[in-house]
Amino acid sequence: MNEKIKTVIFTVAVTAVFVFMVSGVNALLNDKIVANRTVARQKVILKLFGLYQADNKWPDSVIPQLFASATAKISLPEAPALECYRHSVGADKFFVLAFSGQGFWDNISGFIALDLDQGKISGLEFTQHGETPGLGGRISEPEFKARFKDKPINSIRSDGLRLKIVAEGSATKPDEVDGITGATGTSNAVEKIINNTITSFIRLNEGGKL
Amino acid sequence: MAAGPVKGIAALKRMLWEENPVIGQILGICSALAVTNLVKNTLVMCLGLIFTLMMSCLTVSLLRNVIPRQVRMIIQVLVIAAYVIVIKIILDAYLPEISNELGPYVGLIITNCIVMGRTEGYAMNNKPIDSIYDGIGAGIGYSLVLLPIAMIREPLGLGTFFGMQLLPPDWTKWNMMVIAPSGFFALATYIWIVRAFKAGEGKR
Repeated sequence: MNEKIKTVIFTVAVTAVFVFMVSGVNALLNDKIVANRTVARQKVILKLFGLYQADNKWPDSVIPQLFASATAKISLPEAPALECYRHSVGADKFFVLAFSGQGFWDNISGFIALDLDQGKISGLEFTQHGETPGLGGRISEPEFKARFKDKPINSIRSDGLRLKIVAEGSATKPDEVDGITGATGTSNAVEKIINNTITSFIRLNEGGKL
Repeated sequence: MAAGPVKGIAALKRMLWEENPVIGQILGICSALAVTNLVKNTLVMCLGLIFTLMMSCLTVSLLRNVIPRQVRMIIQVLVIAAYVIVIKIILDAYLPEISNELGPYVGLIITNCIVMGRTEGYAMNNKPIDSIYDGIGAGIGYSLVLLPIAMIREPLGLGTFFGMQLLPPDWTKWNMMVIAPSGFFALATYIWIVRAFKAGEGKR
């Protein structure tokens, strides 16, 4: 019995020491990690505004400044959770908004750029997803994201969708987007998320108040 | 395994060739396949593993006389996991892009059989200094397999080396070399060649 208690105490003590060590390191570096994540998000948003390219090789320190001077956050009282940005100067109807929704495995989130003047999607970026690498995970490839570029957002199809994701290689109409073969679940999830995001944003913007 | 305990620098050296963990024991294959499509990521992964091995072997060796036998594996996993999380946090803080690309693989060092194999197989029964040599040796042995594979896969698959253009821009990229299956082929070929050498060595 004594041996058993010793074993338990030993295990608990070792665990406590290592938990302390790990949380110490985490506490020391947490600020830096949070800053890195913020910069990564800001890069994505700036990229959708066309103000940043991955091959710019700018130091991370200039990003928050550029972000603050070039973009303005929109807050709507009726949609407090909405994360949406526009150019800080000018009144063009170009918006970058955050989206999030259930993917095939895990939450898929990212940002979409909508050009309401032209009624088109301007760009799409995913910031987080947990789809199967090589199948659904291909949504984060530039080639897939480019499939959404210049797609119309104002017309509603007979099936109630604005954009329909179809089998890979079979998109012919402007409101159809090629999906990913072998990742129907992910394709359907992306279709649902994108349609919902666009629809709810257009509803918020009814009457062109933004 | 060699007869009798191997001490000091010899414990490091044997891990490089005779008892190389990847070639000899076929351990650590999962990460060897996954991260070897970019030399930079491979290097970070190898350094992470060397650090984890060194620290885990040292810690387990220091604790070896007080760890109760029934819970020794739990303690080993705990020690390994703690160091791996520390590495993950450091990468997140200082190399966020590489951390992002490596994704779950840094965390998966915890399940890398080499680490547990060395702590259970060597550090539990040997002095701290020897255990450090053994751990570093196993880590370098692992790197000696991964880095050459990455150096073949990245140029062929992407035409680059360490992110810099190596082959002419009109080089037809072998997409095959970037995806996981080519890791199998490259690793298998590498092990085949090395083992053929080893067999020849034995006959001499």
